[in-house]
Amino acid sequence: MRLPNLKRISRPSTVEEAGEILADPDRRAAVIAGGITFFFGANPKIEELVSIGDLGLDFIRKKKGALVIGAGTKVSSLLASRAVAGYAGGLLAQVARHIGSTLNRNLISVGGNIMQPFIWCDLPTVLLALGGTVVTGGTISRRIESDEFFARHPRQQLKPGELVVEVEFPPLAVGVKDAYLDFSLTENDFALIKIAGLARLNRGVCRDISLVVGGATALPQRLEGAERILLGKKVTDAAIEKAAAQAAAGVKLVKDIRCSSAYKRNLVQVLANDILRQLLQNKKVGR
Amino acid sequence: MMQVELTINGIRKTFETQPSETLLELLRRNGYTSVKFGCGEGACGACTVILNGHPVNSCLVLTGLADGKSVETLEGLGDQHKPHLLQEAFMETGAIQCGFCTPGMILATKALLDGNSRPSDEDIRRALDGNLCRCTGYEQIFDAVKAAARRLRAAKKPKASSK
Repeated sequence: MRLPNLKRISRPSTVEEAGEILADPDRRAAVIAGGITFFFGANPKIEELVSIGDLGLDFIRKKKGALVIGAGTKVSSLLASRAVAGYAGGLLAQVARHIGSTLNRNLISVGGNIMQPFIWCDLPTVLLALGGTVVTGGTISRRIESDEFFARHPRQQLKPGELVVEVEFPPLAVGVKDAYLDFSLTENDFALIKIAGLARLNRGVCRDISLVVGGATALPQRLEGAERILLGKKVTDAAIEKAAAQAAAGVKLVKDIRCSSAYKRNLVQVLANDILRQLLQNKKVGR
Repeated sequence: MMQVELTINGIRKTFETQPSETLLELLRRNGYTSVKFGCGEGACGACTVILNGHPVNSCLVLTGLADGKSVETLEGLGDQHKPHLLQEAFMETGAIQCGFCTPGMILATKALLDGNSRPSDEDIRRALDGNLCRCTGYEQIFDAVKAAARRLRAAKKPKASSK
C-alpha cells in the first residue's frame, strides 16, 4: 500500500496557493510533479499530495544563453527540445537520455529529479558541475546556487511552503568545454557512477575547472581536491593522473550492493581520468 | 473517496477511487486486465498504458492525477476475434511466449509508430527500453515492430486510382 494515510490530492492553480497548502503543518502535504516515487513509498506521514501539474511550470526557455526549465517539465520534453539540444553542445540532451526509461521519462519531472537525488538521478550531477541555480516559489521566493542547494539534502533546504519552480542552467563562457560520462553494468541498469565536468584552457593552462561525481555518492559531490591539482597549472598527463587519483581518494562513496567500494573507487579514478582527458586534452574516450 | 473522470479507449467514464490508488489498480479493478501488475515500481513496463498520447508505467500514476486525461489500453486495439495490425505482427513474428509483457510492448510500439513510421533499430531500442521480456529475448520483438511499421505504412499508402 502506497501512502496509507493519504487523504487528498490537491491541484492548485497558482504557486502561491501550492505554497499555502505546503506551509500548513496540519495538512502534512508533499509535492508531486510526475509519477509517484520511491521516496513516498509507504510514508505514513504524508496525508496530502500537491500536484504542480496545473501551475504552468512545464516550459523550457532560453534566457541570455542560459536555459530556464520549469520544475514540472518532463524529461521526455528535454529530449524533444531544440533549445536543450543546442545548449552546452548537447550535454543536457545527452544527460536526459540517461534518465530512466522512455516510459518513465514521460513521467519524471525536472523538479522531481533535482529534489530527489537518488543514485539514478542524473540532473543533480550536471547542474552542480555547470554551476546552475534552483529557483523557488510559494511562501518564499529565492534563488539557490547549486553548490548550496546540494550541500545537504534538497528536502532539508526548502522551508515550509517553499517549492522548486525553475531550474536554471547557466550560459557557458566562450572556450569552456563540458563533458558527462557514466558507467553501467548493462545499458538499462542504473549507472554505478556518473561524472560531469567543465573546463577552460588557455595556452595549455587550466583556467577553469569543475568536476562532479554523482550516483556513487549520497549527493552530487564536487571533487575540489582534484580540481585544485589542475587549476592554474599546465595540463600534463601526470597532472591529470594525479588529479584522478585525488578524485578517487576524496570521493565520499555510499554502499552499493552491486560492487565493492574498492571497485567503485577505482571506477571514480578511471572515469575522472577519462573525463579530464576529454576536457583538457580533447581525447574522446569510449567504453 | 474521490471521483475521477477518464476517457478510456475513447469512452468517457467516471470512477470512484481512493487518493492512493494507482491507475494500474483502478484499471484492473474495472476489467482492463491487459494492464499487468509486474514490479509495481516502474521498472518492467508490464503495466504500460498510453496517457494523453505518451506511454507510461501506470503503476507510478496516481489516479487522482490522471483525472480528465485519456487512457489507451490494449482492450482499445483489438481482441482475439479481431486483432489489431500490431497484435497480428507480434503473433506472426513469434514475439510472444508467456505473453505477460506483450500488452505493454504493443502499446509502447503503438506510441512509437504513431509518431515515427520508419523507426531505426536505435529508435525501437529506445522506445522499448522500459519494457522487459523475460522469455523471448528481443530479436522477435524487434522483428514485430518492424513488421508492424511496414504494415502501417502500407495501410496508409494511397491506393493508385484506376479508370
